[in-house]
Amino acid sequence: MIITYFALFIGTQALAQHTMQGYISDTKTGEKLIGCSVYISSTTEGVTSNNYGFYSIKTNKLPARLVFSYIGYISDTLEFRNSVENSNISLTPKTSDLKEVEIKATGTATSTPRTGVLTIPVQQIKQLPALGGEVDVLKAFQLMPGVQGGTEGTSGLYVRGGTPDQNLVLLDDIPLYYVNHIGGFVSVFDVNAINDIKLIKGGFPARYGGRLSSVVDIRMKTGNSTGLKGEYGIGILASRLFIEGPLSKNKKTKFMFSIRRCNIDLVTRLATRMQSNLEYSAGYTFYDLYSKVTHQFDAKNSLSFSFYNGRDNIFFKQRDRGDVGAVTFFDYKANIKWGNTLASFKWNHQYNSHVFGSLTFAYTHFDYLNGVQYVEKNKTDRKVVEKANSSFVSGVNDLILKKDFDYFVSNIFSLKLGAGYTHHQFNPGMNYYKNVSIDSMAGSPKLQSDEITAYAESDFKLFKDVNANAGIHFNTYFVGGSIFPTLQPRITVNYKMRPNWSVKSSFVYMQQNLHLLSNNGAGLPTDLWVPATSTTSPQYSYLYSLGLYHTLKDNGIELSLEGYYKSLNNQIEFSEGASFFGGTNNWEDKIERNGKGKSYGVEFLAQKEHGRLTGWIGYTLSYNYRKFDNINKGQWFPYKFDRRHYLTLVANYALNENIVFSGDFVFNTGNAITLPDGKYPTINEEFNYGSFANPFPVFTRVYDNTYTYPGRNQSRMPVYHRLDCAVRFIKEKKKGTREWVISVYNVYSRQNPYFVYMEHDKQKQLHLYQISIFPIIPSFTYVRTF
Amino acid sequence: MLPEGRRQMYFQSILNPDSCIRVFVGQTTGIQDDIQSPVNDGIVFVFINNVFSDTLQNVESGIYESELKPAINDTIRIEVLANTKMTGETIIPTPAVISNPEYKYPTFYDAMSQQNYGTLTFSINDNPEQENYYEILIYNSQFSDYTQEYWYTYESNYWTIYKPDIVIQNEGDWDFIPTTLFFSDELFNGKINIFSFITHASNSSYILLRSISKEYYYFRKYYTRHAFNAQLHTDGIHNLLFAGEPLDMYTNIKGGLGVCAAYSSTTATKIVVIQ
Repeated sequence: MIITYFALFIGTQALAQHTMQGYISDTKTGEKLIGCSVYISSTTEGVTSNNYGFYSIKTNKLPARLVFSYIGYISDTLEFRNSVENSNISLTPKTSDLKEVEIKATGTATSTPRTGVLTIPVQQIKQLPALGGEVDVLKAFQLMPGVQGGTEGTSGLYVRGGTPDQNLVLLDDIPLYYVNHIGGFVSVFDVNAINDIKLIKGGFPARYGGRLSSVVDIRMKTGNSTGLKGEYGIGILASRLFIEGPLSKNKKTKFMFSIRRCNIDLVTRLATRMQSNLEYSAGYTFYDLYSKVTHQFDAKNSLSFSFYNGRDNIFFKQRDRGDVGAVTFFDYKANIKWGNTLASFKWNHQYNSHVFGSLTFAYTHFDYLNGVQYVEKNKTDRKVVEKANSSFVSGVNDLILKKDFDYFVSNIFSLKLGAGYTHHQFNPGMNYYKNVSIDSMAGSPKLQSDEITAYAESDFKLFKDVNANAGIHFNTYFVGGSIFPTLQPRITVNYKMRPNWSVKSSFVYMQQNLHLLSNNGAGLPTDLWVPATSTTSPQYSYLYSLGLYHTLKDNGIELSLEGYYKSLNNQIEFSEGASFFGGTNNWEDKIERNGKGKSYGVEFLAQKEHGRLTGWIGYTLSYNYRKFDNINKGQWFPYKFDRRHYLTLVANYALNENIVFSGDFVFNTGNAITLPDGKYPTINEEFNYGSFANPFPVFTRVYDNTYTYPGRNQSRMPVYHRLDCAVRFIKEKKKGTREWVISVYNVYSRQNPYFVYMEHDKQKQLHLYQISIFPIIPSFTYVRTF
Repeated sequence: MLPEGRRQMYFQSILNPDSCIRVFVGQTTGIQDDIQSPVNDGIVFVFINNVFSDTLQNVESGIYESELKPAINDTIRIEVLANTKMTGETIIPTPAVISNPEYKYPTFYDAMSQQNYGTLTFSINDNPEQENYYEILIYNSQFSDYTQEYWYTYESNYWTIYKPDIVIQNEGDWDFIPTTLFFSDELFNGKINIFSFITHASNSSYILLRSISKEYYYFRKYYTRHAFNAQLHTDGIHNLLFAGEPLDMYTNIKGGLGVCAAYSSTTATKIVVIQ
């Protein structure tokens, strides 16, 4: 059928005599606009710009008028009397009080065949209230239906019953493995460095693969081509600097550089040193560094280099100078460090007016280190008398080579084709110990694996008023002599019943060749990335969704109601909470495998994207379960983040050009937890003191209480709710703007449970207590652009 | 609020050839109840090698006792009638012998704690005819100024052993802070195995080997994980961050909860210290 369509539309293309193509960019910054809608005003035929702002549209007759429409920008038109080689256009961003010359377009949600695609403009994300004043792109998506956060304040994403490892987080098409800073309170993404972000929670196009539950597609800025621009900001949690601009006079080369640094250690270093009489210092910090350089060789060729490096460091340093008379002194260091490094080269080439290609070569790396170092030296000659290192290291390295093509065959048929190769090297967790006499290591050995992928994806018109996106994703995974080939079909169909009304349905099959072993609690990245192996098979899922979409004519509010059912297979979990710190066994000996998962629910979204008041209301009713042979007696049990109800309200209101109010409210069912419902004494033969008078000690038989459980995750934490508010005071300066942001997290200081625990009171009665760590938190941030 | 579950019957019986058969019978209580709920009106039978042997007498609160002592290789079945019928069965294992316990000191210096450790080695000759399970107990002596006597402290658990033998590591229980050293013969079935521990010992240390029944082995294994994950030994928020998911206790009792298990032990052997 695809071949038939191919032939048909090649024929259609032959009839189309005139091709109009070019790049769409932002007037002020020169950044390319991704997913911009382009259509011929006299027809309903249209296309969207690709990830590099490129569009190609065909017409049988000239003159033709093209309409360019993009959220947050003033729509514009281009008149074509003759076919031209390149027709680039720049769109101007809207300001809050600008009255747009509206060109009535149908709603985005009803016209595109996609389902489950969430977009929040970066500008809107910047306006949301933020914990500690630090705006976070992932937390913004937690406010959308179908996407939930983990424990309070964290930026892990749980999409439609999935887990954070099942999210494919792409930075310029390259995956990042761990995307959170400590406790997940802030993600690694600096909003200043981002041009575009979207989250796909269903109906995954065939070009994506390798994860089960979502795709977070983030595009870095390429840099301002109009002149040197920048921004710096100082907040309670972090400080940042952002610079962009052209590197050459002809503006063919431009750059973007952004750095963000956590401020917490500045205070803790000082405080701990003062407290310890300069003997030790302790604290925590992180940084994120983004950089991108792009060179445009000519109208058809460009080369870009993207780089990201981020690192977290929890540290403790002690320098003992020794007592008076002591002959030695020692230095003691303990660190927990983790971070990502990503580097990629991308060559974009426009082959002709309707074929666009990119070649990518990239390296991505994540590592986690928990280390202790001890060095003892003589005071006199500084000679090392004792030295010891102990560390736990885990990580993953990927080398990626891929080639992608966008083929704009006709206005109603486009193709995306691509292929790639990835080499993985995993270090699932190794303990090292070294001193003057011992050099040992124990744990899981390093593992290598390889993946070959290829895909073909097409957007096409199936019938009148019926559009589709269909494709196939091929993946072959090689590990330790085993081969796992898969063909993963993907299809989404959109039936436009009436103007502004549509019904969409999708089916996707996804496979993931990685697993993440997650430890409970902590909030540290003490999760191990491990590859699928011959004994721990790749995980896979089926996702079905069906939705009804409507755009209100008068105010452009987009409404959607979407239902889904997802099945997860080959899930793994630690066997009854094994801790891997100091673990000596291979990771495969510590896990339960072949687990199943199922989640289903209904999501409602009403979103207003235009005007002074923007925002959305989201509601999700969902069910989320897991099943393992050796857990919960083999019965289905609720997943930890099985939340029956999840309600969010988000609003931004621009009072005028200088003052913008924003707020969000979240309400959801409490997390599922396992609590005991009974107890009984068990003989625990703890051996107390025995008498020497006996041949060997007399045993004292001790009875300890043990618990009975009603089953895994059968209890609930209290409901969670929270209101955040922010106001931004913006002032135009001679050069750039100045912003003061006052943000209040948890306005009414709701004591939401972070975790619960049991403790005996003085009367030996057992009670359940909760720890809440986020009361009302006001914050101030100063931002200056230049 | 903590949930209230339904009440369930249980019995516990750890048997060995040196002691009379004892069974503890009770009913589970609510998680917030301050009292236990022993059952004193139950009927407890013991069958040795499938032959009815005795009806146990209620001697203390919830405790039933027989004058019979089980013999090595006996199959013991206990039946309890108390609201419901419960049955548990185990085999008294053949005692095993430990040989050549030696302690070499010092062999290892831990720079972090700035302590010297020694290496304890000993051998076990495993019976190839069957699956065997063991438990090791190590004792160090201390002199009490108060009683003017030597007292033994139990020194074979997670906190007192710096690095356990590979057989213990292979059990996968070490991360759960076991309070005793138990293991199977999976890695040395039918062979003589030399064990090696980096630990503390002294001139007056003893080592004791127990042969344990399969039920006892699983009971210890589950108890260790159950206690760790439920933080039975650390009240409150301590250690909470790294605790795992709760785990049900092991039971081999049909019709209820609890355990019917056994062990046999030989005389403790004095450890020879080599400086």
